[in-house]
Amino acid sequence: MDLKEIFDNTVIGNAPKVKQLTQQALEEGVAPGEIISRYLIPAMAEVGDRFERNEYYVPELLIAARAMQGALAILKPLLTEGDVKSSGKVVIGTVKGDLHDIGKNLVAMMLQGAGFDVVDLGVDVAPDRFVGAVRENQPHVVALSALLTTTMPSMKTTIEALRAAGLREQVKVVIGGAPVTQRYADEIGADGYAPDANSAVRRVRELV
Amino acid sequence: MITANYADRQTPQFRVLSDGQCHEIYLAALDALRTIGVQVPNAEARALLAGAGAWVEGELVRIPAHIIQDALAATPRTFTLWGRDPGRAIRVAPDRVHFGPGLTNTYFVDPQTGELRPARRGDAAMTARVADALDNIDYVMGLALLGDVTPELASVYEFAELVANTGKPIIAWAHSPENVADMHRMASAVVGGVDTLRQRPIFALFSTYPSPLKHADLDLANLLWAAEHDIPVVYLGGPTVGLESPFTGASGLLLHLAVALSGLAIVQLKRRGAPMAIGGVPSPMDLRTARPAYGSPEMSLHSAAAADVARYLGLPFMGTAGASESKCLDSQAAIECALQVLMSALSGASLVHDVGFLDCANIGSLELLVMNDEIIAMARRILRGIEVNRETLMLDLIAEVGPGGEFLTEPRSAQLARREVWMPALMDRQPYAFWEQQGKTTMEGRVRARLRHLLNTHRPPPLPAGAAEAIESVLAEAEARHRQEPSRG
Repeated sequence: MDLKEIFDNTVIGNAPKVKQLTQQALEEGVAPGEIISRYLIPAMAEVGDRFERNEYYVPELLIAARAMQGALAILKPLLTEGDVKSSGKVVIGTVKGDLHDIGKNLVAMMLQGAGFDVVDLGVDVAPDRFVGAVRENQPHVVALSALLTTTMPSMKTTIEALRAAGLREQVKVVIGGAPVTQRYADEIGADGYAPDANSAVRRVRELV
Repeated sequence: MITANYADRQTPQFRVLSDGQCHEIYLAALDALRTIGVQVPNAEARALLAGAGAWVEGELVRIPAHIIQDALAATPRTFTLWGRDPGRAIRVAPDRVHFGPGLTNTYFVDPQTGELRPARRGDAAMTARVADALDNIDYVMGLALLGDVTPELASVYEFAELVANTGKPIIAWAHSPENVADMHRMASAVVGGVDTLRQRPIFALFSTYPSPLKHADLDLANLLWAAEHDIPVVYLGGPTVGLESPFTGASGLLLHLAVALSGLAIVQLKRRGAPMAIGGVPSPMDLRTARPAYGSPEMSLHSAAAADVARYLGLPFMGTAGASESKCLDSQAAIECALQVLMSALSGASLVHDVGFLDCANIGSLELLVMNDEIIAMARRILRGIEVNRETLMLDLIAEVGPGGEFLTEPRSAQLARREVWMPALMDRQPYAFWEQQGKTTMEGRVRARLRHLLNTHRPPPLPAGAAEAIESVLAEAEARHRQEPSRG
């Protein structure tokens, strides 16, 4: 088989075909780690590029992400020690006092699509829950979301809680949401900020 | 092409006048033509009307209703205007909406330098090239009165530039029947013969009437020449409401219709079945300058009403939009154009013209044409309306996903994204941070960048072999003829 078909079908988001090709590749003895690192992750990078060039919109991005997740569901259980398991691990949540989750969900879906392991804590997440999740999951990145200026201060208290727990140095913190700016990120000592979902993925990739 | 007020599938419905009101205006126009009459300074036109039973006294012709009714019966409800590129043909009919530039602007905004200067050779070519590239511009007019050529031949030089630079249909004006004949020869050379041109006309003749209740000699002569040679015609006029009619919209509509219908009768008597659209710009007089106010709400209101009347009579109508009173590409231009474009699209006007006008038609602006392309695209989306049926209600998918679920990754929904959601080419919808990163561009800046890009990159379909030489020789012969007899084109 031509393994590049996995790449091509992931880019166009043909989930059933990607699943079938992945099975076939495994039967022909291709290593699971190779399928991920040589075809699936590059496919999602291509999808991101197409988005940057205005050729893809959000739905196409997510359909491709779903095709990739279908393949990962087959491959992950087969990975051995030392294989690249994922692009990285991210703990994500909407900060305390804020119940908005559309933007946060979009970022979570996009991160999964890009091959990250995502632990989604939901909405109204208190600082100590972020701390607990970081301790438990050992993520590379913590992603904080807020829609309201009134709940933005919870981003600051969450970062402070991570510092107080001695965990701040081992994770990168990225923040996002309509009222959030790079300037605010700098002010509260976050490592990154992104104005929309696709750039959030790019920013996280840079930080891991 | 946009379809308005179409009933197979409900689209946004819009009327200014009821059928009863249209009927009243039509009856009043018939009354005016029969009892007051209309000035017809062209001898052949007068003879045609007299032969059909009209009463002629000097240049004044009173026309009985049966002549008008016969003309309406004879006029095709629809005709096709072809382009050099057959894929660009448009079907002209009520509620089939097409947009295009206007013509004969004294000044032109130079697209390279941005300076305002007298229109000159090359400007119509640029208009044609840009209009050819824009998805939402359906036909081409010059947007510039070439000021550096023999004045009586300006329309012929313009046509030569237009036909070489677009595959879309052209609507051209003429100073004289000789001009029309010259354009006819050029177009024949381009399409491969007179017979082909007769079957597939690639241009229509645009002619105007003054107001109130009068025609102009040369304009009628041009119409008659075109009709005889199967060139579709568009006959458009005022009045400027308040100046050439009383201040009421109804009187303006009545005067527009009376002259237009008498023109229709003249054309149909010359050649029964000649394809023709009527048009009117019953804009109000600005109360300070006394100029016709293109940017006024009444212009769009009256034009939409005139489109209602034309639809009622089964006639294609030329409307007006994308024409600002502003002197440059600014917020005023955007506001006026947006209202005009949506109103005219909703009204179902067949040929909406003057897209790209500034300063009360004095200035042609390709920048404004490019900005209007985006506005027309938005209007086009609105006019497509909302499809309501089992497939589009998607109750089954909603049940499948369930409360609190997400639809974005459902292929059945996602595959409709591009069809259902219009995405802008020029409007900025990015988050502030990206907008800032990309240089904080304004709409005006993006419009200018797109215009420069189109002028640098767009290549219209090339003329067939030998056509360019044929066009040049028509121009040379026109110049020679003009030197012998300077009064004629």
